[in-house]
Amino acid sequence: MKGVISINIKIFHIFLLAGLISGIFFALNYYQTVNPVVVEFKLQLFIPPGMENAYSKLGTVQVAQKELVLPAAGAYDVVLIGNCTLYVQTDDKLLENPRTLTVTNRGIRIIILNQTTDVTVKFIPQQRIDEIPALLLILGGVVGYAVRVFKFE
Amino acid sequence: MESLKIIGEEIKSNLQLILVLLASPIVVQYILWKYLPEIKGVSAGSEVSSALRSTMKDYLINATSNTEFFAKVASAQLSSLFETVSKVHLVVFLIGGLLAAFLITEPIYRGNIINDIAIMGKRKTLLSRFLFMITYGLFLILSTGVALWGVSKLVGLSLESRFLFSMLLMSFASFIAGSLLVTFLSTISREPVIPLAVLFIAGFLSTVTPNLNSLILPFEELTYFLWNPKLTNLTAYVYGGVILYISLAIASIKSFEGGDFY
Repeated sequence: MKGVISINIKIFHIFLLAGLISGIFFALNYYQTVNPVVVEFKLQLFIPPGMENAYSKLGTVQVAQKELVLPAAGAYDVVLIGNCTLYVQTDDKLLENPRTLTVTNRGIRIIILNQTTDVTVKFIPQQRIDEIPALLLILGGVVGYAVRVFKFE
Repeated sequence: MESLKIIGEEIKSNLQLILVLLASPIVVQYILWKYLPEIKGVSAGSEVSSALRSTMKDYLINATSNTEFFAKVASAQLSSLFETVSKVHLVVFLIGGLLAAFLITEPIYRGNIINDIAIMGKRKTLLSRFLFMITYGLFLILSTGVALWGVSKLVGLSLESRFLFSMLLMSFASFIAGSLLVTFLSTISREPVIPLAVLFIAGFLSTVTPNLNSLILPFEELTYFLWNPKLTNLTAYVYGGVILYISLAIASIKSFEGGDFY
């Protein structure tokens, strides 16, 4: 008498399934890691509403800097909301008002000059279609076939 | 080759073994996703202040001149790679031992390995069971390699192909090392508790001190040695570990051939 649960499964299917599951696992983790990063800089200098232009003539401006580590390397779109001059420094260059950003060293430094409103900087990762899950599935199929060649079934 | 089909049937009818086979690649991948993206010891600072319009350029120059932060992030990325390599070796070692427990220890314990021995003799029994483990090990290691390549690209590490190759080869060796340990112990003790207990104790001990780590998981050091022989000094413990596993391989064949499994 076999066990209560009897599964009719071939070893080939086990490998294929293992490849499929690890492919799905990869994709899930991938999309969990590759997330937009949002950085906010509140205006701390008091500027009366409607007086921004007059105020900037006085000569005092707000500046800010922040160091942060992006979750993933690669290309990002940079979206700037607010009124300021944005500099982004990566390990090899300094970009002025960038629209896109490509990093390998994930550390970046944001420098904001001339800030007259609250500023929000968004780093949105560019959609990258990854081939790894497909490779994992193919790998499962190939090794599963090898098991068949070895006459395990 | 009727005999290999018996092993195939045995694998297919063992639900626990199937679950281990399915879960192992995910466990290794979990290690990759957990440890590789980590950035340790880097504090991301933030500063808001006001400046005169005329000194704004100075502020910019001042802020950008400090590149220590980028060096810190780069070295943190690299050290998380080393930590991941170490963890992968450990996990693969344990998975190898677990598979050997299912494919060699359990049949010895239950006594049904005698069917195999009657059909094809002792040495071929051991070899054909190891053939399946090697095949699965290849799948595990290659899927680890594919995932490692993908994750490291994502976290900003560009791996040299030589590093990837030595990593895969040596973690395969760790996989075999774990299965050899369990095989040898189960041919002596003929029951599953002692081999598995020793396997997990060895795995635990390897995390305690660097010397024990080189002795129990010598292939971790060898990964770096194969990658760049000039930068890595092999200690006596690494040689000791390699000799240990070679003698384990010979000893398990000998003791399997010498043992009675009725």
